[in-house]
Amino acid sequence: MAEASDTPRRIRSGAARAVTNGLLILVTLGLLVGWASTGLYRLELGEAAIIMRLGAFDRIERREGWSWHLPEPLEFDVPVNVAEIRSVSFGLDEGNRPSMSDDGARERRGGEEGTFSRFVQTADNNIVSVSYELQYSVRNPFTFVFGMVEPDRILHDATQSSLRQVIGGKGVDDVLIFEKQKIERESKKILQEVIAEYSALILAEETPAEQPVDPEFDERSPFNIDKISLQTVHPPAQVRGAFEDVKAAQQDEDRAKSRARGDAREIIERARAEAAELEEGSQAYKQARVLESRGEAQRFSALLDEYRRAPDVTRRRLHLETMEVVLARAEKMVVDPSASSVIPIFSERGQMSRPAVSAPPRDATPGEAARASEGEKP
Amino acid sequence: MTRRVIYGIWLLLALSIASLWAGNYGLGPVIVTQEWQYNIVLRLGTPVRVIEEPGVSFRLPIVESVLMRDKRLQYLGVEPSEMIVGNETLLVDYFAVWKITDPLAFSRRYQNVNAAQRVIRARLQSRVSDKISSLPLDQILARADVLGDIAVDATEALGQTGVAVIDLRISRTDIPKQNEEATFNQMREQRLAIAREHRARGEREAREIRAKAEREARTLLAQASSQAEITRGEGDAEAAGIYAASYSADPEFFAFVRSLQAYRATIDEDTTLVLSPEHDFFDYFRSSGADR
Repeated sequence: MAEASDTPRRIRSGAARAVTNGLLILVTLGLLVGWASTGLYRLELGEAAIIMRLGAFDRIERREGWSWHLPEPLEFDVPVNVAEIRSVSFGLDEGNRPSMSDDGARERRGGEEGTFSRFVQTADNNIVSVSYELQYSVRNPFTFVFGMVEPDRILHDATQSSLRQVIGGKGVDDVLIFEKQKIERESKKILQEVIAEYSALILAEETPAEQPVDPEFDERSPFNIDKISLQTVHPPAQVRGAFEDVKAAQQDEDRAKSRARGDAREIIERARAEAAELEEGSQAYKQARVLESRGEAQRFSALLDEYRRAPDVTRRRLHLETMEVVLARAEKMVVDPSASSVIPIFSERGQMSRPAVSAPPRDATPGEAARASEGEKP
Repeated sequence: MTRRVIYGIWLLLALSIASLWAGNYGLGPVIVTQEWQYNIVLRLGTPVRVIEEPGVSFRLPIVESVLMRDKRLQYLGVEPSEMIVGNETLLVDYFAVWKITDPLAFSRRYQNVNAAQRVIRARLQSRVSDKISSLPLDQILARADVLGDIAVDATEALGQTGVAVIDLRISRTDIPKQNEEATFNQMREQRLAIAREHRARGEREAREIRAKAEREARTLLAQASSQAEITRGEGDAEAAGIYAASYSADPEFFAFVRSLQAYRATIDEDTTLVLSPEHDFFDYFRSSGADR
């Protein structure tokens, strides 16, 4: 009787054991899978993951999407956004340009009780107001996450220090006008050098002394400094007027000079015109003289020809014509050379009004006649 | 039997994982030292070993405890304070970057990082003010690393305590608010002088430009004038030449004709001529010449 009841119990406990075994295996598998799934991780676009194995740095994974590492706590993943361009602003509020009026305003720095002023001193004892922005991204994710305690504050102060140093070495006119881009370049360079100096000592005991690494490409550097850009650079509001006046004065200077140049041109033009006139006048004179002389010479030659053809007659004629004209005009007295005293014989002219100049002699040429009536010298 | 084996494996696995896990947080029999940590193992309060490399190590529970110290670069910001530079007062703001180089020595001296910060700051303050007052202003403005040797000194002094000051740098210098106006006045003066210079220069150069033009004009005219004289002279000469050429064909006849012209021109109503009856003119007055 006892045997018969044993079998079913044995079968039941056997079955029960099988079920519990099965359950156990299932649960174990489930837990194993669950544990394994802690190794799953996903990288968004632009992210990289630092894989730490048992506390030590193992590798950096950059494949975007789902990946798997050894389950925790063997390996841990630390995702870092490496593609994003991060920015730190100095003197800008929320990306707006600061207005001139809050130049001297001091903002709070990063939550601390510190103050931030946009005023920076220049080499020649001037003050300028600057606001600028640092743009950077993560270069070495490992040193970025595990290298510094407060990387953002170190970066902030180092940037400020570099820029202030560059401005402090230049004169106010260079800063305001001529060398803005130079300032951006130089401060970026200094910042990179400073960061390189720090990176060399991250997690290293001694300063490595092999070859000096170009800070631009230093692999250990946590930051990839993209650029420092000056947003606003201007003289403080309090002295704006004086600076504007200098600009106005420059314009005045230019204006005075250009007006003078205009006047100068005018003066020279006038002189040229006068000179041209003088030249013209003298040329005209020369021409006139030559023509005149030619005319006269022609006339004489013609007369000479006539004379040569009939010398006596011509002489007589000319002489008589002249005498006629002359004697008609002048006061005359005919006096006998043998007379011892002068007795006017032809004296009727005495008190009478003089007649007008006599009519031209009949045989004179028009030119001669004209000359006679005008009494002009040749 | 299998069940016990499974249980056993399971338990072992679970325990290992748990202790590894806990080890990441400084608990349990396993110490997982992270990349950025130093771990000091104390046995009953006495330091027995310092773990500087990341990885897994073991400790005896209860008797051994672990002290963790930060291996990373630390930032120490100092409040801006007024310092005398030359004959001016400036607000100087600087910062330091330091790290723990010897965690054991560090822990002996300082309770934690904050405590260390206070000590380091105190040690740096007076040295920095002294250094800054000894330097000329232009050096302080143009170079942020003038405090570099203080960092070196400080590292030496603090080396015993496991601290290395890596860098000490001026983040900025400001003129205290109450002295700003003085600087602004100076700036205004400077700008005024520059503006005046510009305007003065403008006037000066304008005058010069005009004067130069006047000179040029005068030269132009003088040249033209002299050239005109020469041209006239040429005219006169040419005319004279033409006259001479023509008149010298018969100089005597020329003298005759020309004299007649002269008589016509000069003898006028005011002239009194005293003539002799012998004069040629009267030839035919005396007689008709019919019998010649």
